[in-house]
Amino acid sequence: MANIALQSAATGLGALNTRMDVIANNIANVNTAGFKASRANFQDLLYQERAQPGVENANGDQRPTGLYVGLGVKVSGTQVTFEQGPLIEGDDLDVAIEGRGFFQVQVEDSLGVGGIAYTRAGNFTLNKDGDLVLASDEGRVLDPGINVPADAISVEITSSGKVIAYQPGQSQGTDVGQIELAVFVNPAGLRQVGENLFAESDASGEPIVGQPTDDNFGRVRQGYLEGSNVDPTRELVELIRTQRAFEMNSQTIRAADQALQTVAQLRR
Amino acid sequence: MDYGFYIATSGALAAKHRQDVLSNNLANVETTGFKPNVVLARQRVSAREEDGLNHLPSDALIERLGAGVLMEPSRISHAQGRLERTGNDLDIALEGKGFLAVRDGADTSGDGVRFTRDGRMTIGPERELILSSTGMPVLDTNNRPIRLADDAPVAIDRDGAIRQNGEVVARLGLYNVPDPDYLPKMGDNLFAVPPNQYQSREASSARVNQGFLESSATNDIKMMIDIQSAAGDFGTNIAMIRNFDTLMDRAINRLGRVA
Repeated sequence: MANIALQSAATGLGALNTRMDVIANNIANVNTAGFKASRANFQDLLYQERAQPGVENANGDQRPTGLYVGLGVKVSGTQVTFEQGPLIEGDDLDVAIEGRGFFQVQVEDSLGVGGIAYTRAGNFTLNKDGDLVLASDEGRVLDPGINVPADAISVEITSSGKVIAYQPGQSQGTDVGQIELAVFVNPAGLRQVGENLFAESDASGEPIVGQPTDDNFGRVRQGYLEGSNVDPTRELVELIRTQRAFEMNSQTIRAADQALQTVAQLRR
Repeated sequence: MDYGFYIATSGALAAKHRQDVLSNNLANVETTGFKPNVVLARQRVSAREEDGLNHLPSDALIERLGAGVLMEPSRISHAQGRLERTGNDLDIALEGKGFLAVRDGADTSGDGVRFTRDGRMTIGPERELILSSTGMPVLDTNNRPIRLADDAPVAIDRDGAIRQNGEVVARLGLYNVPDPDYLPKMGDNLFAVPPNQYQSREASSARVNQGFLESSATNDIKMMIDIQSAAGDFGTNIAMIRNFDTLMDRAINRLGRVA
């Protein structure tokens, strides 16, 4: 039996459940460096045109246009918000981006992203060869590569991304590389692939590579880490709202079921 | 059969319809820019009056009863939804009456203009502003897609002017129609614009709020109560049907029984 109220409420439950999943992931990543919060976007489903319910008219001429019944809601997609996260003091090799750019790191092809992935998480460290790598379990190598000499006492990174190593017995530092950043016309179109990494997609457009402090690329700050941009208060408020809306839709199911039950008992 | 039997049936069908429409409103309680449908019923006049037949004195009594209930076409309530801050530069919320215009490429019959209050925009591959939900281009005051000048951040003024590096690159087309309550809904947060309404569209003075989204205008508590009350009305009408059934049962099986 076609019961639209039942179906609409079910689509509501499904969509709200997805939003709950998205919020849960945001809250789980409230302390993940360089994490960007997502949101679930909702849109209404199709509308069904219906004859005027009530009494049938023998002539059928009583029906004006436009009696529509909606069929519920769906999640049209998730969208990442690239609001700047807070800058948190960190180690010497922590680098935060203030502005729009992304660090580029080398990834293996099995990730399906064509060699390079993008991240805002600048928690760098050195690998055994002295390369600047992400301090993640995979140790992704920064691209273009920066190699720090083994005997370096300290490393300085300027706001424009120049990396200078200081070695014992030398009064001047050695220029060991330049951090480059990538920007996208539409960062919201980037694909999330886990490990704090983003991959280029048709929606994001091609990366535009440049140096920090260039127009629109942002600048880098050594000794700072960009925190997660998840706002816990907002997420919790969203969670409460989602949960209540979920409960209300389950009440609709109960009300629609009640109507069905009444029909089922119509004939004694 | 009893006349009331049919009147009660019309009441039950109308209550079910109300429940269907209201539950869609409630399902969309978190849908950006959603406007709820209003369910309107009217008393139906007798079939004789409806069909314009001759009046017979013997009909007078039954005509006074009316002929049950009939649903009116769904109207849309365009009450303002809450503005919620998102901090995303490409989210906009309209405040006041009016719509954003977008182009539906799938529609080739006219110029495919649709209206929406959903201001979740993103940037397409050719730097055009598109809706993030459907990918339809957002139109400017000349009905052209809006193309950004470069990668610079986008600022949107309260009057819909889009700025990059301080220069106005385009203006959002904001429109109003004479009868927005009857714009057909198409799903995907879009309203279709019938030709007669489209012809008489006017520029809207709605204010644009960058970094905000308009939340669903569904009043969740009211919807819940109305859905419950529709379930109750449905039950009451069904009880009336059973009542008539009992009367007929007695008339057939008891009154007619030979002692």
